[in-house]
Amino acid sequence: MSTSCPPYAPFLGFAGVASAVIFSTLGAAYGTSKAGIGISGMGTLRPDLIMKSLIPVVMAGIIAVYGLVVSVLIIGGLSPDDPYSLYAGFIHLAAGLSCGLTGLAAGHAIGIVGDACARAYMFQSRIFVAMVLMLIFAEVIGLYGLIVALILNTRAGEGACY
Amino acid sequence: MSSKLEQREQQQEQEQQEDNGDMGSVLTKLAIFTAAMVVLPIGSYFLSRDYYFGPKNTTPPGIIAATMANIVLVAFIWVALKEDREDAKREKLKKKQ
Repeated sequence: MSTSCPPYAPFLGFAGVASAVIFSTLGAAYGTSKAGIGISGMGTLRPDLIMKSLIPVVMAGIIAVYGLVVSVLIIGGLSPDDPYSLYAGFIHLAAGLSCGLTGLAAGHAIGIVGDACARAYMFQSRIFVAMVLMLIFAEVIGLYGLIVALILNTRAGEGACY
Repeated sequence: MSSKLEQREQQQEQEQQEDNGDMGSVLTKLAIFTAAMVVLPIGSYFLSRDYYFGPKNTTPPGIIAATMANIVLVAFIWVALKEDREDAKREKLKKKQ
């Protein structure tokens, strides 16, 4: 086989697909569960505040959607018929890892912030605006990984086989 | 004395009925937002990639998918705030009575 399109190159591409969705859903699951603990604790005393406190859970779900979008994006570039260069394999791996691990970090942040702010919202209603701001900044961490993955993925077609 | 107890029991039953009546709307909202979160981002990605941006140009469809997910989030926040305002109005009316 050619040196720049070795047969093991698709392994890296598929590893990128898997890591994008695996790590981002790990982060989203942690965020959902940690925020859910705080919400259910708060909900026993103030059930009227539950709908507003579910915002961290929705934001953790969006982190998983970012990972899903990146993995679908990378899958679209994999095909058994076209030659697949090692360059493209590394790009896809980098895209998957960047989106996945930033999603893991963002989900972690959303979980802890959601838990603490749900409990604090019970006592002080002005925490709500601060909670939304903190959650937006935590979400943007995952968005940066998505942007880097998108930019990387546009250059995957540049590799040629020698 | 017994009439007061009966009154309190009636009030508690009414409140329980109201809470259980809300369960239908909560489940409806859950179903709508779950469906929206699942279908809208990926659906908009594939639709915009296949019918508008061409099969190889994948960056704008990715941006559209991320934007749709955030739109669903904004819609959820809006619905939660609206429900909160309605609950506050209802409580004010109850207190006036």
